Amino acid sequence: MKIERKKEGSRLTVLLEGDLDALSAPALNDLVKNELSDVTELVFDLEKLDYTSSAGLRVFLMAQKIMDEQGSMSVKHANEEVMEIFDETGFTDILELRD
Amino acid sequence: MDKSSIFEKGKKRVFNSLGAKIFFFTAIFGLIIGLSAIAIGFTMYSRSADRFYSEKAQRIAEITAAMLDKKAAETAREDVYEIYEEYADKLTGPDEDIPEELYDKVSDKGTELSEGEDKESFDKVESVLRKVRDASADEVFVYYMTYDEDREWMIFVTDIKDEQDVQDEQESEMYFKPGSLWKVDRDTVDLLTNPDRAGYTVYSTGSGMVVTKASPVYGENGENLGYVGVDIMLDDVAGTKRLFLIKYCLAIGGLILLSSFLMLQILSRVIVHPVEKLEDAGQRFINRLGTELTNAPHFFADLNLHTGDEVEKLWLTMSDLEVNVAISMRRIKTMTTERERVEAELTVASQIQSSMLPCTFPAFPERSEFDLYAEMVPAKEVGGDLYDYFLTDEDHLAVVIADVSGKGISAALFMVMTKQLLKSRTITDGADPVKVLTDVNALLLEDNEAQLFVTVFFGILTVSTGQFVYANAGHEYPAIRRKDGEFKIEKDIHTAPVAARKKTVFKSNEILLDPGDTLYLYTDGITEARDKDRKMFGRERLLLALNEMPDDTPREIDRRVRQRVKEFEKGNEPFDDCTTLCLKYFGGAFDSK
Repeated sequence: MKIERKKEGSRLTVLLEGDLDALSAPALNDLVKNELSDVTELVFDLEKLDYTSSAGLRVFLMAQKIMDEQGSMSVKHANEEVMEIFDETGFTDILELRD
Repeated sequence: MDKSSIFEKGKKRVFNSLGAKIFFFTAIFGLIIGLSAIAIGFTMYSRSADRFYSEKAQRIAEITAAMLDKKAAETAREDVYEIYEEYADKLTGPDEDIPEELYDKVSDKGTELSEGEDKESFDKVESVLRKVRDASADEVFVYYMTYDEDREWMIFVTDIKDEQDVQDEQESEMYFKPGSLWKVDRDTVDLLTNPDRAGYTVYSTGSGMVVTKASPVYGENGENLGYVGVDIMLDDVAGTKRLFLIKYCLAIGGLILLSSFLMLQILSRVIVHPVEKLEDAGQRFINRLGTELTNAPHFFADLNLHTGDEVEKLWLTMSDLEVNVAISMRRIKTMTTERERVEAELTVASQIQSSMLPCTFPAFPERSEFDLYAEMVPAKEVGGDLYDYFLTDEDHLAVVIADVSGKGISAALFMVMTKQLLKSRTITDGADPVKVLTDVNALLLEDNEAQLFVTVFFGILTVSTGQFVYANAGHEYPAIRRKDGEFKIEKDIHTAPVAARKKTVFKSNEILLDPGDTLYLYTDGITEARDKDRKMFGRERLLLALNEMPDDTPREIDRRVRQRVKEFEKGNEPFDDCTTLCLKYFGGAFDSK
């Protein structure tokens, strides 16, 4: 999986590409743990994300919990398959999803 | 594999071949140098010998020419030349056209003349020639001849006539009569007379190798009368050369052998012995590797090969290597022990975990209203999936299937907590799935450092009526088969998983099961099993497998699904835990079967 960052002031956009599974989730986990200290607006752009497993969902949940404390987080451009996963796992209730 | 035998074989081969190679190459090298030396030496020797004898013949010829009585030489020459000229015209043209007897005629007339009125002149000349010959240390022939440049004939004027020559006049080739003819071209004459040239060397049958030189004879008025020719027999010279060659070869050969042996001795001491020592140390080190690793070995360090060359460098490197290998081996051994310990503990953990889930089937042999089968197969030793079922009272059956996010020991511990809380809260709170999940959600969130969450499908079946109330917290949709129909995915009302957020509001679904209806619950280990092209098994294939023989028992249905998943993965190791629960409802107690 490929992770790309775009930082504009306190706004961080993370672009994900490929499959987010147990093998690739730790990299994203590190990003969430170490790079959010001065971020008030976090955006996950999932345009090129094909799939996320529960390991990926866990990272989204962690990021959401951190951003609840210090700003806002949104997830955009999730494709049909990823959207279905969010839906099925109830993450539509947890995440702020945008087109 | 038997290591030691391979190394022993190597040991012998190394010594033999290194020694043999050194000897062989030194000998070959020596042979090449030796042969070149012989060739050069012999050529030089041979040339100087030839030149020496050629010069000697030249000197004798010069002295003789100077000693000759000019008047006598002139008279004798004129006599012979006169006879020659009588026949000279017939002596032209190709050799084979000249009749043999013509030569004899000339020489016979010449002989006659030399015995006639000018005999004194001939004798005078001959006596000088004889004097010179007798004075010479080598075996030489000295003779006086004259040359016809136009017709290229050399005409003998005087040769020394010995008694022996008189006796067998006819056969003798050692004596040339006056008037004997010798066909000599001008270039050969130059070769014979030019002091700077090596001389005329020829092999004659009677005399063996002969070198010939000639020196001009001048008359009273300084005109050229002819030449004094001197032959030196080289038989002795050839013998000397052969002897030189043999001695030289023996000396060179001996030197080669000697230097090869010396080379072998030196290199044995300098290279072969140290290499052998290193090899031996290496073998002892290898032998001890498998057995004893507590002390640092010093097989190499003990050798003390302070040779000051590459051998010492190799020795130092091997000494370091020995220590490093020993350290690494010890580390590997410790790590292996540690890993074995962890593996053993994991096996125990795995056993404990699987024994926590109810696994006796049929689960409720005394209940005819329903049949149930469930199974959890972890991808690793311990899993993060769980299922559970239990009766809260005579009429209520609770079923649970859940999947903790993450894997391994942390997920397994979370799974254990989830299972225990779900069961205990159900017994305390009674049969309300939403209330149970809300309580468990709050309890799990209290201490959740690892940020794990768990998707839970939790339902309660009222056995007597078939009413099935459940809550789905982020878990896969259930598959339901209505009596004689097909399995279909039931799109129910979903909420966020348990332990994700405090404020999650869980929602209740309610369906009525009719007798013959079947419920199939599963975790994403089934639907997200991947084949070699990373394609996922998916819900469609799951439904196909379920509908193959939908009237089978829950156990058979589940077995088939797992079989299809395995076929789909085609040997790929399952990546996620696979957990399933299948419940078939037969209806209230009194109208079953």
